[in-house]
Amino acid sequence: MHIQTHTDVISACRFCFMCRHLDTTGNVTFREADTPRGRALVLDRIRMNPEQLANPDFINVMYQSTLSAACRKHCVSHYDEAGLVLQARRDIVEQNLVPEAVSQLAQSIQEQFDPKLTGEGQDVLILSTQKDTFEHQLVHLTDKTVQVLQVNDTGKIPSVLGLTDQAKEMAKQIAAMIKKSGCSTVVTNSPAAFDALKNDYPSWEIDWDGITIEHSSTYLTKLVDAKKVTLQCNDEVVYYIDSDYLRNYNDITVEPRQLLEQAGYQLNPFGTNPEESYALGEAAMVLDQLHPKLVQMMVERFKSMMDQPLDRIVTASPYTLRILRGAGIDVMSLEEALLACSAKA
Amino acid sequence: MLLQTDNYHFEMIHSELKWAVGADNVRTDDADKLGHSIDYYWVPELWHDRNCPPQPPQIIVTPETAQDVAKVMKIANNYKIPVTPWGGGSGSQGGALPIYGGISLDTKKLNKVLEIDEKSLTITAETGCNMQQLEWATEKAGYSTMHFPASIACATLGGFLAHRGTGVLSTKYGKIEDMVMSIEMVTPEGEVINTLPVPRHASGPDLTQMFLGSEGTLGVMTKVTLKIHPIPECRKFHAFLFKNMTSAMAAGSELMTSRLRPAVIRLYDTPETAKLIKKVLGIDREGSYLVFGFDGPEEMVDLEMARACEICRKQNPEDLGTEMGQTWWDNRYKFFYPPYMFHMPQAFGTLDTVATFANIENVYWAMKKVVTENFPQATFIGHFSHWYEWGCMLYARFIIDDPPSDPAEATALYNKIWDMAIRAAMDNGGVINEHHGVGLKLGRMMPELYGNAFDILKRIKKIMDPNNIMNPGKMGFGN
Repeated sequence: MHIQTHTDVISACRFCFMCRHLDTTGNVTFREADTPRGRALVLDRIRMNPEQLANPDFINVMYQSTLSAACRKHCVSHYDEAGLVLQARRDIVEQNLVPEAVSQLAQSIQEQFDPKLTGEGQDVLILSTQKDTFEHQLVHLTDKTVQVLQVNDTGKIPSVLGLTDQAKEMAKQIAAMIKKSGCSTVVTNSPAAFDALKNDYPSWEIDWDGITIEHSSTYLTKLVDAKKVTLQCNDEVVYYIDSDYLRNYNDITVEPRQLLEQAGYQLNPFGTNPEESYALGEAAMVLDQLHPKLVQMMVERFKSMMDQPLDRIVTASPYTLRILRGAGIDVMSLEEALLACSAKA
Repeated sequence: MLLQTDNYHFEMIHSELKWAVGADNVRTDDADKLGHSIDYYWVPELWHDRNCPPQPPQIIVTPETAQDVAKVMKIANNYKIPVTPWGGGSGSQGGALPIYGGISLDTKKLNKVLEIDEKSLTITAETGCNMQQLEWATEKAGYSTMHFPASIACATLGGFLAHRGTGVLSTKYGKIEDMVMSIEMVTPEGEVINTLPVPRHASGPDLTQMFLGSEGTLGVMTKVTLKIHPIPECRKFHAFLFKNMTSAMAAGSELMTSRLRPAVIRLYDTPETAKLIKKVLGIDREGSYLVFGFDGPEEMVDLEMARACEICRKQNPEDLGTEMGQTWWDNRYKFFYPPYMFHMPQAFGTLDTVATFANIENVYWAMKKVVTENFPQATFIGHFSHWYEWGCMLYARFIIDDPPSDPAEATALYNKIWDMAIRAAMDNGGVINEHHGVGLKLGRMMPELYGNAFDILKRIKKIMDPNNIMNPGKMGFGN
C-alpha cells in the first residue's frame, strides 16, 4: 500500500493532538476524524487491517481533507500529514474504491484536457489554467511579449484525487509542449499549477533542463527589484489571504505582501492568527465540487474572521478568489490589485 | 443501559437525538467513533497499537447550545444511557473515554466567544472553544488569558475546567480554577444552572469550585467567564544549572517564600536535564536546570529578576543567563511534539503530584525509590512545574523502552507502577494529581486519598446524577 511510504507520519500523528487547531476541515466539522490525528488513526487501522480501506466512512474522511498542509507547516518536525492523505487516496483509487463523484470529476478533466500554445520564440511562457485575463494583466504590467499555454489543468486535480497515472500523463504532455516552446521561464498566477510544475513534475522524473518555474508573485518581485516595473498609487487597506500552495507548500509568503506594500496598500492581518489556512480548500482543488456544504461552512468561518463585512480581500489563489467572489465578498486577485496601481518603468 | 446498535430501539433513540439537536449534530460514522475511542491516555493508545478492537461510543452528539445539551441529558436519563463529555480529547487520564459506550457528548460546537468586558477584564465564552483559538481571539482584542498549557492547541476550555488544568504561567496567573469567575452548567437531569457571578463572596459554599474538577461526572459545563489580563510590557527569563536538584529546590522554594512573584519557575532533576533539556535546548552538562521568568512593567521585572538571581547565586550554580531561559520559553511546547515526546513502543506516564515545600522532595525520592527498585526496566525523571507560596507540583515520569508486547500484560505492569508510585506520593504528603485529573486512570485510588470524606463526594454524585449516566467509571465513582 502507498500509505506504507508514510508510516513515520502515521506513527507520529496517530496519538498527537498538537496541530488540531489548524485543520481546515476539522475547524468547521469539529469531527475528531477530520484532524491529522484522526486520519492517522484511521490509516493506522487500515495499515494493520487492509480490508478496512473499503469502509466508506474512512474513504469519505480522506476526501474531506483540504490538504491545506497548515498542520504540516505548524508541526515542529513537519510531518507530512497532507502527503499521507494523498497516498491514501492513491490506495483508494488502486483498489477501485474511489467514490463515483471523484471518478466523474477526473473523467471530465481528462475530456477537457486540450492544451493550446500561442505565440512563439519568447523567453517567457505564461501558463494559464483559468479562463481569465492573467496573461493580459502580466503583459500590461511588464510590457513583455509572451507565449501562452492555456490548459484546463496541469494534472494537479487528478493528482490530488489519487489518480496519479492520469496526472503523470497530463504532466508529460504539458512538459513536452513547454520544452518545445523554447522558453526559459514559465510564469503562472495559479499557485496550484506552480506547485505542480515546481514540485510534482520533478517527482515524476520530468527534468526541466534549465527552465525556471516562477509564480507570478516572485516573478514580479524580481522585475520590481530590477526596476522594470514600478508599483505605486494606492493607500487602501486590504487583507491578504495566503494561498496554501504558496505558503504551506512553497514557503512563499513575503513576496505577495511585499508587492502589495510596494503598491501602497496597507496590509492588515486577517483573522486572529497567521497559521490557519483561509484558502477555503484550495489545495484540494475541487473541494467545492465534491463537498460544497463543507466549503460553505469554511466560507461562514471566513466571514466570522473578518474584521468588518466590507473588508477588502486580496488573494493570489484563483480558487479562493472564485469561492469568495461567489459568496459576495469584496475580493481582488493579486494581479488585479497590482494592475490597479502600476506604471511601467 | 448499554446500547446495542443493531436493533430498532437504537434507531428510535438515534432519531430522538436527531430531532432534539439536529441531524447534523448526531453522528455514528466509524471514522469519528474511532477518534473518540482514544484520548491521550497511554492504555487506549497501546490498545490501538496492538490492533485490539476499539471501544468507541455508539453515538457522537455535538450540541450547539446549552439547551441542546439539556435535551440530550433528558433523553439519556430517560433511557439511562451513559453520557461521556468530550472536548479536545487530549486528556492523559482517560477521562473522556466512553468506556461504557453510549453517547460521546462532543462540546466543540459550543465555541462562541460571547463577550469581552474591558472594564472588568473578563471574557465569557462557551466551553467548547479550542484554547489556542480563544487565546488568539483574546489577544486580538489586546488582552491575554495567560493560560498557556502544553495542550493549548489541543484542548478545549471545558477540558481545563473539567480537570482543573493549569498553564506554564500558573505561578503568577493561577490554575484554571483561579481564573474562573463563574460557570454555566447543565446538570445530569437537564437543568441549566449558573453559579454566582463573582468568585469571592460570603454567600454560602462555592458551587463553582465544586463543579471544577468534576470531570464530567456531575454534568457538563457549557459557558464560563474567565479573568483576562493586559499584555505585559515585558517578560524576561533567566536560567541556572545547579549542582543537584536539592540545591536548585532550595533556591526555588526561597524564591517563592520570599514572596517574589515569578510568572513561572521550572526545575528539572538531573536525569531529565540530561535527557530532555539536552535534547531540546542543547545543554549538555550534568546538573539540575532551573529557569524562571517574570512579566509586567519593566522596572518591576528587572527588580524582581535581580532579587531572584541573588537568591539563586547563594547555591553557587552555573549562570546560564537570560538566553538559555528565553530559549526554554521559546521551545516550551516543543517537548510535546513528536519525536520529542515519548512515544510507542515506549510505555510512559506522568506521575503528577503536588505537596508542600516541607514534603515535596520526600515525595520525589519516595516515588523514585519505588519505581527504580521495583521496576528496573523503568527510567524515572522529573521536573517541578507549578509553584505556589507553600509548595510545588512534581511532574515525575516513568519510561519503559520495551514494555511487554501482550497488551494485557503491559497494562498490568503499567497500572502496578502507577499504584505503587502514587501510594508512595500519598504516604509522603502528596495527592493523586495536580492538574491532569483523575479520570479512568486513577479513579480506583480516590477512596484511599480522601478516606471517609470520599463518601461525601459519592453522595453529591448520587444526588446530582441519580441514574449515574454521567461519565460512568471515572473518578472512582464506579459504574
